[in-house]
Amino acid sequence: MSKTTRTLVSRILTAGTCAVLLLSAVAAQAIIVRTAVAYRPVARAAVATAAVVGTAAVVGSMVNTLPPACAPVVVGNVAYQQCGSTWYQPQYAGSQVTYVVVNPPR
Amino acid sequence: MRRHPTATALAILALAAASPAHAKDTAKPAIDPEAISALHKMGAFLRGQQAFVVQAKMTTDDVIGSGQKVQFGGAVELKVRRPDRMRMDIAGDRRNERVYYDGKTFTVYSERVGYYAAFPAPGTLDDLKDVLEKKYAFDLPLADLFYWGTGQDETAAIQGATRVGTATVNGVTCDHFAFRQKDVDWEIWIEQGGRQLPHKVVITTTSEKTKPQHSMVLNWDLAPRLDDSMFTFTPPPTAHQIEFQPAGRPGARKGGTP
Repeated sequence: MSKTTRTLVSRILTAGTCAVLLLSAVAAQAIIVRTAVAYRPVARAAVATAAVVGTAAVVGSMVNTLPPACAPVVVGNVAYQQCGSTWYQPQYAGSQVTYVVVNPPR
Repeated sequence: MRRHPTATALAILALAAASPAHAKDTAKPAIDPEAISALHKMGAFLRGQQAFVVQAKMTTDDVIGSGQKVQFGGAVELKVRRPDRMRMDIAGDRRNERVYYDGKTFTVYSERVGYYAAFPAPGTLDDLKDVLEKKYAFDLPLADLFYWGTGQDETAAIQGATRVGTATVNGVTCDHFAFRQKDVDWEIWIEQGGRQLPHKVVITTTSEKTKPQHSMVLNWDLAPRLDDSMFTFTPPPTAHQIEFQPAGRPGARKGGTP
């Protein structure tokens, strides 16, 4: 796992504070400046995503990246991504758009 | 150039005299009060700026599966009008977003995917930064700029502080400082003279084997022309609003049965 301190945002101040980036990011802290150490397991995130998509997509599970060949669909004014028989609902979580597997809306 | 023998002898004497103190210093990194003071002055100066635009070029290291360190790049333009306006344009290898705050609503728009999300925001930028960090775990680039000088910084965590020397960043003469704290070494270049602005920051995560770094170089405009319209998001016809999930709540709330 790699972590890069991206901002000097507090680890001390808010000992329990986490910043979610990609799959997970933890705000570590620094000092005088607030320091944030972000854990950004890019490669692992990709692997985890592939695993979720490759096996049966469980309703409620979340991925950072959609599988190939998805189509954006709007149903009842709600945005979805349809990837074959699996439907995803996009949301902002942490600092990025993530996709949650949902029951087909139609 | 030949050194004068007397000068050499004096230098040796001086070294000998200084050595006990020097040995002590190596056991525990020294904190130069002037370096700490420079941070405080910079913080106060930043807090005093009612409106500014800063352009940042950043790099962030990451480590891929093989253990190899790789670098990602990006640029951010931040516009601030205190106490309640902020706009950020983020263009990076891994993030492309626009962020809007008009004193009432915080919106993030990802043009690439055509989605935006918003939440009712507190009335000041100071309160907003705390909500973003604590409730949404939203990683705001350049977040340090909002913390310096607020008293929410923790000088006590600094274990080492020193002035490295004078350096020029984008033509601006700066004092170069190095700080050390648990797991993190960091450097900052602060403009000399009456404008104590940070022009460069390098943060090294020392607790990681590969010691990944995050760096940013900043360009400042302290007299910008900022219109209200810059801070309010008007969704393009093709954009769709999606949910802004607070941290720790991974699931979509509707379960896909609208």
